[in-house]
Amino acid sequence: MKKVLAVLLALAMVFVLVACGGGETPAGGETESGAEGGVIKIAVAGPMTGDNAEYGIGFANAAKLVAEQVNAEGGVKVGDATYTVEIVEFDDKNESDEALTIAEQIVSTPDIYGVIGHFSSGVCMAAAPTYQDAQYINISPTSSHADYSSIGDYIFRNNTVITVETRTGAEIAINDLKGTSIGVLSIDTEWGQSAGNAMEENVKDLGGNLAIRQEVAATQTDFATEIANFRAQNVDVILVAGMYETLAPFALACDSSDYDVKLVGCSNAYTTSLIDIAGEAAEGIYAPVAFFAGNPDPDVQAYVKAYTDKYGAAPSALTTQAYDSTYILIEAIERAGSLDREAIKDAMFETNFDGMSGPTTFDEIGDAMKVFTKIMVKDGEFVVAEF
Amino acid sequence: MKEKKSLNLLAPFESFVDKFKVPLSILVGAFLIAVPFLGASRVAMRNLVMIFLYAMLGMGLNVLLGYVGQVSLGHAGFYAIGAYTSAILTTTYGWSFWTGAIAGACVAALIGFLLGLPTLRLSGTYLTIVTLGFGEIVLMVLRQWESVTNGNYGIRSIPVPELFGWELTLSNGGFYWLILFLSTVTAIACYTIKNSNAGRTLIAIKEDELAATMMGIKTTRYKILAFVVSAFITGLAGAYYSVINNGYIEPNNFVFNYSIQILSVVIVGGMGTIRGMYFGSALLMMFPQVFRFLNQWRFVIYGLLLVLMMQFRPQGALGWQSTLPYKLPRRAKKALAEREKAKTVQ
Repeated sequence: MKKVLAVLLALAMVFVLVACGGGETPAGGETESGAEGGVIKIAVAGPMTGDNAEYGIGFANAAKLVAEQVNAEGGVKVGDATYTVEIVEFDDKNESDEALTIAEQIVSTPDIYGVIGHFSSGVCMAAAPTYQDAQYINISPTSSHADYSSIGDYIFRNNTVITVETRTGAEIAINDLKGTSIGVLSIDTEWGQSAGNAMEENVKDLGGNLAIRQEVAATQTDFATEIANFRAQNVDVILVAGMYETLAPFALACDSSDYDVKLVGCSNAYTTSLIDIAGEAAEGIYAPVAFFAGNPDPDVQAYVKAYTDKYGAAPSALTTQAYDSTYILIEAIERAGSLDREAIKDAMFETNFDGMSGPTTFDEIGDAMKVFTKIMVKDGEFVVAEF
Repeated sequence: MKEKKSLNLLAPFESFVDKFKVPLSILVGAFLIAVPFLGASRVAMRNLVMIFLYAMLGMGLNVLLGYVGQVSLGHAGFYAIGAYTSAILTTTYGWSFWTGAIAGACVAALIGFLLGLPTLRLSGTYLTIVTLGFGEIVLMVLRQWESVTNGNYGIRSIPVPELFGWELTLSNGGFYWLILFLSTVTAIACYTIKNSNAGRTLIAIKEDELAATMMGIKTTRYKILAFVVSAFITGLAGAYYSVINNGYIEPNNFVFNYSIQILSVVIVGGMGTIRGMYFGSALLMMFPQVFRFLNQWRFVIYGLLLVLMMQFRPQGALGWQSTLPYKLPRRAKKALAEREKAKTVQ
């Protein structure tokens, strides 16, 4: 019995600790200055430590850049008042346990008006219902779970949706490259399968001639059988639903077996690793991308320069989606004309934002609809595609 | 020198607690039950829920690690089995949380039994490696068996528990009371086991397996028993976890890290003790929260704390030996009294 007692005593002490800790945690270390009424806080939640820290830190960097730019231009105008933007960072270690605790902290902070984040799909899925219940707008720049945006009307996704992305890929194959016999190569992961299915549907939908679909293991590097099968069907354009780890060796294999075929990847093909591995064989690989750092558009170039000057490295596509998400939220607050959460949410659905990751609108459940840029590899570099 | 000093403090503390155990337990119990009415914030409630959950997980592993001395690195596997079984039964088959949770715990116990049969003949590091593999296999099955587990997409919309039409949530204190209840029941069960014949047998195996065998103890049988009890508690905790995670679970919630986290609770708190599980859990759960302002540095300090702990207090924070005189079981007392009586009569 005495042990149980000792336990209970220890617990009582612990509770005192928790109550104090819980009450005063400012979480993020930013100063509390809500009293002036002149600050709008935006939370950035993502992995700031651990394996995926680069993504979370990228989110935070992008959001801070937006806050700096908006504040430099005079802040956010809501009705007659002007507010400055403040970014509050939260580290979720990419774990849902941690994310739920953070979500409780965020929804207990009244002057936070939106949350940019959570990085991986599972963590987003776990935390989103808390934001939905508390009516806090949550925009994930990365979540790819099919059901994410339908959790509620306060939950938005500013990431590419695979059906829209592969639609652009199919357009390249059929309209731009005039493929007469189209093949699909997909990897056997959950992502590869859904991307491959979306490609098949889009090709059929656009009236293309879908000849054959081949599935390979994500780690496979020998494609002799697949190439023979594609060749037998006279395939002249292949849509590849794979990461660069599949696309690059496949391009090499086609090249070494003198198979003259055009390859169209997904947005994840836009990485220098593709060119590093495939070398010459990467020439003429096409891909649809939402964000393209080499985009000659002056706005994109100004953004890439501002980001690179501040943080010493060019922004990635996901970081850029976080950057756009922050702007989308601020614009929605301005358009709503008040700090009423419901009004801001309604304004979010009317978003028509010409962002760095492409023009963006939201559909009825809150999934971003983006216009993709078509790019290709030319002379060892990614450039805007020419046909 | 230092040890002596702490012992001197310990003895009066223990006898004080022992003397006033009834009023103290009523006081602390009433306080813990009243917490949601005392204006605790949702953040504090969430933290408390996680502390009690990990205390329960700690007690589950403690049966194995603290009593029989077998290290398991695969308890996240049992945690996952409990969570997934309960989640699938409540979402697909419309079971209530209560039956689902018990089924989850039973399935975990069954798997624990099946796993225990061939592997508990191994000991020490070999067993540890097998449990490590077990955790990974469970994870692979969760990811690949899509028709049942929905693969990497996870299971969503797991209903919250209902008690006579009252829905338990975090904000109405339901989650807190539920885990308070579950962990208290677990603590009582562990206390009972530890002080039973079976418990003493388990500890005998831990202290010297060869000697225990020579005394006629069927060590494998008792090790399997401990394995099953441990898996049952962990599975029950898993079922509870499936509802507090906003009704969504996925394989990533049960990766190797969580096995280590449970193990850390047991080791930091004090192997073989029950009080230590609560303390270890509170320490490990609250440290990263309280020191959030240190940003990246908090895990460096956290790691340092664990290293220092193992260096200077390997028995765990509350892993002290009791200074009170050993309490004889009632039967032994009775027998002694009779012998005394017989002596005086002579």
